[in-house]
Amino acid sequence: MFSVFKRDNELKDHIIICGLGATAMQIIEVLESSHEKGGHSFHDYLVIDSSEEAIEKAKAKWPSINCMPGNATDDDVLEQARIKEAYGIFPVLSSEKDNLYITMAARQLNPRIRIVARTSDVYNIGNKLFKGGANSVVSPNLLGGLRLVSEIVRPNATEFLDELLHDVDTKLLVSEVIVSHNSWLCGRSLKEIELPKKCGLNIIAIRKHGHQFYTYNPSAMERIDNGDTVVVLGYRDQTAKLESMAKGDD
Amino acid sequence: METIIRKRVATALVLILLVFAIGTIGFYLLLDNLTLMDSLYMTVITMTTVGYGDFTPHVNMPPGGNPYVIKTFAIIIILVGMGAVLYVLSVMTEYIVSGDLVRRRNERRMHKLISSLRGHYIICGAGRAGYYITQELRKTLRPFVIIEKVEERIREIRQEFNDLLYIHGDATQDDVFEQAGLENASGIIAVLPDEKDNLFIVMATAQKRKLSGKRFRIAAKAEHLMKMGPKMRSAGADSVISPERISSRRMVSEMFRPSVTTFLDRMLNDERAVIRVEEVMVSPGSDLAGTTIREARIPDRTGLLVVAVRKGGSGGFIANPGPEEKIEPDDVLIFMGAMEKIFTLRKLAEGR
Repeated sequence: MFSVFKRDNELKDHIIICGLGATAMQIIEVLESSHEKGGHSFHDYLVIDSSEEAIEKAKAKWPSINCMPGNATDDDVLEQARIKEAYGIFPVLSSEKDNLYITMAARQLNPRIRIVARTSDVYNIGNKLFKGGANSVVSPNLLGGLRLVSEIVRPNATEFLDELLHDVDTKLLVSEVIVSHNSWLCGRSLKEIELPKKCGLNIIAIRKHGHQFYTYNPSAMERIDNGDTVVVLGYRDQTAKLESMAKGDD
Repeated sequence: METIIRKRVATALVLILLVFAIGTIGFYLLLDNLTLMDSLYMTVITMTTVGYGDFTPHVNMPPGGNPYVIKTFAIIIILVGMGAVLYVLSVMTEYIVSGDLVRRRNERRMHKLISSLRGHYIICGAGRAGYYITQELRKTLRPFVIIEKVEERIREIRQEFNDLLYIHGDATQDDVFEQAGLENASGIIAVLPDEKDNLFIVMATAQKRKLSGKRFRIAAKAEHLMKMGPKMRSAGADSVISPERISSRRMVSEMFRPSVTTFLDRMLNDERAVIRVEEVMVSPGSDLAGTTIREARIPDRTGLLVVAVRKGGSGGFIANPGPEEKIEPDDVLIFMGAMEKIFTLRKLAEGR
């Protein structure tokens, strides 16, 4: 026990996980596996749970994790977990009300902390969590439901997007490029620019300067002006070519 | 239909109250020795043709009263009152009988609609995941039917989505899938709360798929992916999803990623239209088959751009296909855009 608290005193920029339920275990698994791959490794994390038994179980699975016994809905416990120095917190107790409380307490104790919460009720609790200070709210049923639909109605498009978003090897990515005033692209239509010929890219969407929304599948007559954002999907080298064109260095 | 009947019941009730009021006030003014309560009582026994005889126009005639006026008033109350009572009775009977009839007729009509569906999706379970699935299928204009055994859940989900096609039944019972038109469906999504039930649905529908030679896809929700995933897959599921696992991963990436929203996030949440990345498979009968990207003139005809092509529907994707890229039957084209446009393209690709 002593050694645990000694470690805690050194914690800084860490992540606090409240509770050791099913969601928390999954989160730890993701964190641990990304530690192995070398991602997110600059952040330590600390798990708070009131059940010694749950902590024993987690320790048995991941011997090196930092655990702290205590009730995360108690502000003193959060302070002990050095919430004021923390980078982020996952309020993932089994009770939605407790998670809402932790979200509000965490925001109060540390205005800069990143709070990522979960709820099964996006509309009611989700809105309350945002109001309480959560930066992001995730709903398993919503995500799971949308994913199931995608897998069934558009399996190829889903696989394509997965490659785009997760697969590092393909190097295919969606990029947003802002056109600067001294770029050759300014004041020209897509037809004149002939981007497919120049770097093998299609402009899939344009956001005019100062507009909130995109125009998808812009027509050949669409004109590009200073400050517009163009969205392309392509390989890194293709995108790099477009980026230098948009900056106007060549 | 039901609202019309409800309106009629209301009219009848207002009518009868009006007759009560006029009768009570009329008798009170015209006759002698009557309290308001007595007048009301007299109106009721008159209208219902009971007529005990304890109060009558004759007995309570005031001295010097005009019997013609009083008797004419009584005649009007008797006739109008009886009419009103009969009307109320008939409307109420109609309400009770036809409510049932309307419901049954609606159900018959719905079952007919369900059996005429082609290329639709079948959702098993109207819980929370089922709710979001319904929302997404509606948004993307896809036909579907939802199977749910708890009546309360059907009622709840119908409140939000009108004209919802549903089957009140247990998805783990085989005959329910016949009703849902499994033979003509494009896909099954099993999202019952118990993952063992979902496994059962996967097994049952995959077996039917094998026997019938159809090609619908099967996806199921599992809580314990390690334990259930392999079982569901070997039973025939094309995809097994654990909402907990997906959301945990998302939570971790939300924790670390920069707070700027990406293009794809904004696209999915565009308030003006439903924009999705979608796909179509080119059928041999389509006039797209055998052309090149340039010849197909898809942007002119549909307002969409081909983002990628997957030759023969498997293997790698060709991103930003050039104008000379050939389009052949069974190629899958990937697009991004508003759902209505994608449907135009789907018709083109399917040769309809």
